[in-house]
Amino acid sequence: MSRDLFELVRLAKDEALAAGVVGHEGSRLRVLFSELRRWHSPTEWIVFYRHAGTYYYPLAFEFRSVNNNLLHLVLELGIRDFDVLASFVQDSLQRHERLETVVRALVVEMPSEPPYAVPLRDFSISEALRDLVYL
Amino acid sequence: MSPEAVVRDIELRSILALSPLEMAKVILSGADYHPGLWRESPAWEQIRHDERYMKWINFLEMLQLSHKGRRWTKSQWGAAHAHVHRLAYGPKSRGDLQASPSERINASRAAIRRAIRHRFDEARSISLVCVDVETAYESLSPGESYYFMGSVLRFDRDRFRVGYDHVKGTATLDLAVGFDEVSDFVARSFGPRRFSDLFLKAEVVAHVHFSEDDGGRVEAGNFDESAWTRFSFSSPILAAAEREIQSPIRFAQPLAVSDVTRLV
Repeated sequence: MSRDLFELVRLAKDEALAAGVVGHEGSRLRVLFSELRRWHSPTEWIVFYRHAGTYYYPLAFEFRSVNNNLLHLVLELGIRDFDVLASFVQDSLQRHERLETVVRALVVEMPSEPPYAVPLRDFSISEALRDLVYL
Repeated sequence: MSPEAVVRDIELRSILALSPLEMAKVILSGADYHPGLWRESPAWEQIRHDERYMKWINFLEMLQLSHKGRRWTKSQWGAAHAHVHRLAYGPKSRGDLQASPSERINASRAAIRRAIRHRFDEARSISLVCVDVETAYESLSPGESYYFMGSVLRFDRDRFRVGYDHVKGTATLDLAVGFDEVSDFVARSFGPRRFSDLFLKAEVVAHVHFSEDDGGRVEAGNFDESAWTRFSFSSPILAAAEREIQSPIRFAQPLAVSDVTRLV
């Protein structure tokens, strides 16, 4: 999701691609852009920031990733555990998109409070379901 | 992989370094029908036409009665939400799913349904939004607000605000960007028809505060006679719970609101 991404996702007037993080090398994300119905990856990584022990969710992903309402699920429906969130997302991907995608968390440890992000109070992510990188 | 598929390696630092205008473009370029109002679903059609749900014209009447001291309890405000939940998740509904072989998935489905059902009951305050689904707009206007993917976006001459609340004057994200730049990007990205589907004129018109021993207290902005025609009279009033940390798309799965004026 760099400076040219909004042009990439919206290729032409009224034409858009779904975006999902399908891998990473440290903080370098591998992002797959595709029509939603053709988007497929064995793994999708959900990016969270963490600063001073608090998780944050990037607003950019809330509006444009394949699963574009995770923050809504956490804040509105009170899901406080990534394991439950991942189960729900995997179930939804399987039922609606026929995707057998495994959802994991990429936690980015930040030296300062991240911009364009919303704090998630009392949210937890088990070590088994996450990769941890440092900026 | 389809011919249209593209893989890019993107350094996370570049996301953190986006300018306000770039961030605005990221949000607007994500425009989609989900999450948001599924206008063609049976439940949504019922909300639009069933008289038990509050519309703009009922809201104006409710406001007048409220100024005269009339109050309604939380269960009266929330009866419509309980009804639409039964439509969406009750027996033989679209959401009445066969059990999954996975216990974990069944548990998460059950937890989500309980959470959806109890959002109204647990709320101490709710925000009411009016969404004009009857009038099609083909381009942005400065000073106007739009329902977009469950969020309320406000476009001013020098600011673009996401998750805007007109009663409190607050936003989840407040970006210092010029209207002309944002408007130009939107015009390049969406044709008039798609724009009218994805950007629905909307405004947070009131909050309702509940207490243990009293009916809901209505807090609204200024509504003089000129406000009456702000929306089509049949535009639905929807709600979201007030929270310490607000979701930018808190109206993505809105709470249905009863037309309490029918109870007078």
